[in-house]
Amino acid sequence: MTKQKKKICLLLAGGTWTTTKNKEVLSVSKPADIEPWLSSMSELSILADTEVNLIAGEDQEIGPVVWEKLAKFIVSKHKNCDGFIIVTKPDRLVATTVALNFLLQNLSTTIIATASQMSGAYVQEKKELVNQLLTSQSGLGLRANLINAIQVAPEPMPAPAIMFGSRLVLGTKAKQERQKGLHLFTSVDGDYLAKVDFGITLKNDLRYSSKAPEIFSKINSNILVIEDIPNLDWSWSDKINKDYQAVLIKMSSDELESAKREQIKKLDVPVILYHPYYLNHHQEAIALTSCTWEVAMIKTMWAAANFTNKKDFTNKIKSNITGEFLNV
Amino acid sequence: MINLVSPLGWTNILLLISALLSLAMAIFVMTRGLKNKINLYFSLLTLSTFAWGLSLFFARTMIDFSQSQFWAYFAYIAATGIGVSLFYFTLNFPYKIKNLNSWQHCLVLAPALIFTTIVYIKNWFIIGMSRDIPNTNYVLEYNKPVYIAYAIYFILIILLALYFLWIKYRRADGVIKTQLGFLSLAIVIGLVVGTYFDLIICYFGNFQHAWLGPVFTLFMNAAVFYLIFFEKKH
Repeated sequence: MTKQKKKICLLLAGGTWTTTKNKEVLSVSKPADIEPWLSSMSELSILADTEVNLIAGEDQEIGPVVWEKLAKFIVSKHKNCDGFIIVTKPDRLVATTVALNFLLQNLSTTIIATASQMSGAYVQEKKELVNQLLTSQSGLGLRANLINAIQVAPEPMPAPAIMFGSRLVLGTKAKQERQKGLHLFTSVDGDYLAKVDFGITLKNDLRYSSKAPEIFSKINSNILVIEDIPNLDWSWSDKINKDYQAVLIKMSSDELESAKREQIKKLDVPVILYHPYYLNHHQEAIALTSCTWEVAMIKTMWAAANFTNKKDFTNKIKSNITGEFLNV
Repeated sequence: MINLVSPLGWTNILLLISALLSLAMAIFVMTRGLKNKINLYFSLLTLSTFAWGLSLFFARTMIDFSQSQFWAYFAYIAATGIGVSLFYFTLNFPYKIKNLNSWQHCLVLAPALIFTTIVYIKNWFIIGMSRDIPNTNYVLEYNKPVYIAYAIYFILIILLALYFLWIKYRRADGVIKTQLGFLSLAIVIGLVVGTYFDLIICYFGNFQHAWLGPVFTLFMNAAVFYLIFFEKKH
């Protein structure tokens, strides 16, 4: 009797660049691209029963609209699939994973996000870079990333995670870096779910949430993001309260200048001050620390989209919703 | 009671060390979890290389003829284990390349079972053994048609294993290419040396260099050790 293959749903949303034997670049922008793209990676169908779905093409912007579409798709299919793999653009990989973390809280299905080293609609413009990667890495890395992702996708994971290179890292802990033109995804606290060395070794003591799943369909919200630089004044129009649902300020120090505090007091929308480690108490704003910048941004978007009441919004921002707060 | 020649000589000491290192590697990989097929087949492979090295060591160094003969014959069971576990390891490392059906499994396993069964049946596989105790050497006399069949089976299974690695290496990119590159090179070194010194020249009665085969499998252990502990590229 042959062992039943696991069913893995592959959701494509950019980041699909791969190369054929003839060093031709293939990517998926429309449904007709799927067949040749999948045929160039025949290993995938040996490893699992893969169902490929195009969520967004290489030419599309990957943001809240696509994240909501991905979440909706996963919710509708999660009982029929042993795991989900999302392929997206490398520079949107962390944000996409974090967004799914907030949209699909404690959903008992594994979601692994991965990407090629390169993405976009125009191959010709990046031909030189492709050739460089072909020489140094023998490819764009997607094949290896997908093979590794497919192998871990049937395993239970605590939350959406990123498989890239030789590491599997939680989206909420992931940090994107660039080295010699290559994308790298490291963990901010050095903690990884798995490493690829001689086979894939999953961490022994993975912690799973016992909370009931909570599904949200909205994350699309308008938030104003400000990077605070000390001694540089802010100026904004009076339409802020009308145009934005929240203001997120990325702090470079633990204290906000008094003039800026006065400006904040005049706003009706909630204001969040973010610093990765520590912030002094500010009456007029919500402090958000001990998480990555991507988590701060996506969490604010998610809370603004789902909680219009200021008290509920504040509670959600301050709570450790999915274990996104780091012990730093 | 184990009576060994004394002094053992550096070649036999090296043989024993290489066998023990293979055992250590097998135990280490087992502790990483045998649920993972890569770990399972690699630990079977290293256990087989341990058994092979140990049997050659005892065959060369035991004073008692029947004990030495037992181990000299056992080396062929261990070598068959190497071929079969290498085949399944390369099929699964670093990912499965092919789903074998029942008759394909039979085609791989049935000859192995037959050869291991007939090793100790007089004149079927091995006809006899002569020894040179002072030089810790021995010579086996084979039933040549059966030995040739065994050699063909062994070489075929090894070539299939190398073919799996080659196919995967050619298609691979990123981290998988690095993994395959290291391990394939180490396996090829071990196999070329092992096949030449322990299969081909033994056919012509030259067993003097048989100790080299197990020693060269250490490259394979070193490659895995490197991948686990030193290959930290993301």
